[in-house]
Amino acid sequence: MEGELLALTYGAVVARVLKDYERTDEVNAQLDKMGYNVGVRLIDDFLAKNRHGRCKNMHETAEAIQSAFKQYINVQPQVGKWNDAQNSFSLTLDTNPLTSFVELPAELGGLCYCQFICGILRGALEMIQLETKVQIVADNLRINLGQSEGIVCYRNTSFFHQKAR
Amino acid sequence: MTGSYYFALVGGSDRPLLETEFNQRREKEQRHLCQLIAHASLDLLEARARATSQCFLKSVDRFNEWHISAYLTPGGAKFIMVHDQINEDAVRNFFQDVNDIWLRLRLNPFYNPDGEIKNKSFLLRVRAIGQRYFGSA
Repeated sequence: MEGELLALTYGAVVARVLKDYERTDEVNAQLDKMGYNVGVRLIDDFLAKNRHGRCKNMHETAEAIQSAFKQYINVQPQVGKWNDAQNSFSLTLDTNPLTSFVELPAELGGLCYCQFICGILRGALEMIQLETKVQIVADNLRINLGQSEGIVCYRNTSFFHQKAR
Repeated sequence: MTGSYYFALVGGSDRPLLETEFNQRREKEQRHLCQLIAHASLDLLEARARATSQCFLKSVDRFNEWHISAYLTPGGAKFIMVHDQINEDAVRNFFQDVNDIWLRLRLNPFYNPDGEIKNKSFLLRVRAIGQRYFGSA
């Protein structure tokens, strides 16, 4: 039941932001900013609930992110597509509770509907000294990008993390 | 012989949001006539709706050889079918299937309530449902 309310609330937020900013690239930036604000606060809650300890490498970070998804939106993403340097990976969500009722109209082809989630990840990871770039690589709401669900690409550039290794 | 069916989806302010036809075999004039008939029957539709708590209102009106069947969604949208052959089961099933996809459209955050339906996939689905119940278009 709460999944529907979340989806409808998020949809209303996106529609409102769209009405305010009109252009899809600005809407994407706004959604990312909103997600960032949520992420910087959410990380404290997550760390308080999961006494995980420091992650030694990106693989453990990815696992922690997976359990966070499971905890907050009840969906477990698949981790995959690691690059050679092992500092970039992608998360695939098979079902996205945010997009339950959504069909993007043709004129909104450039809208990243789940940019909010990317912002949350970026904000949360920045609070633990991990500077990352998170973006949607494939989205099944936009037909021309193929069928896989919201995937994010993740890159670590922080000095702190490299020193810890 | 398959009959011809004209379907209109009317919104809250009595504005037609969607109009489509199945098996239309006569001239274009017919579409204007069907539109007129459908809207003329709105008063009777509302009167019938007040008398019953069912969504499917069956036949609300008749105009010469045309029958008008209607379905009132709980949200206030009206589905009107103008047809020349009585086929209550097919019309009822059609209305129920359209109601299902109508609910999904209403939940879409990018669709304005009572706005014109520009959503192509919705239109295609309505046509597919109509072809399933009323034969080939």
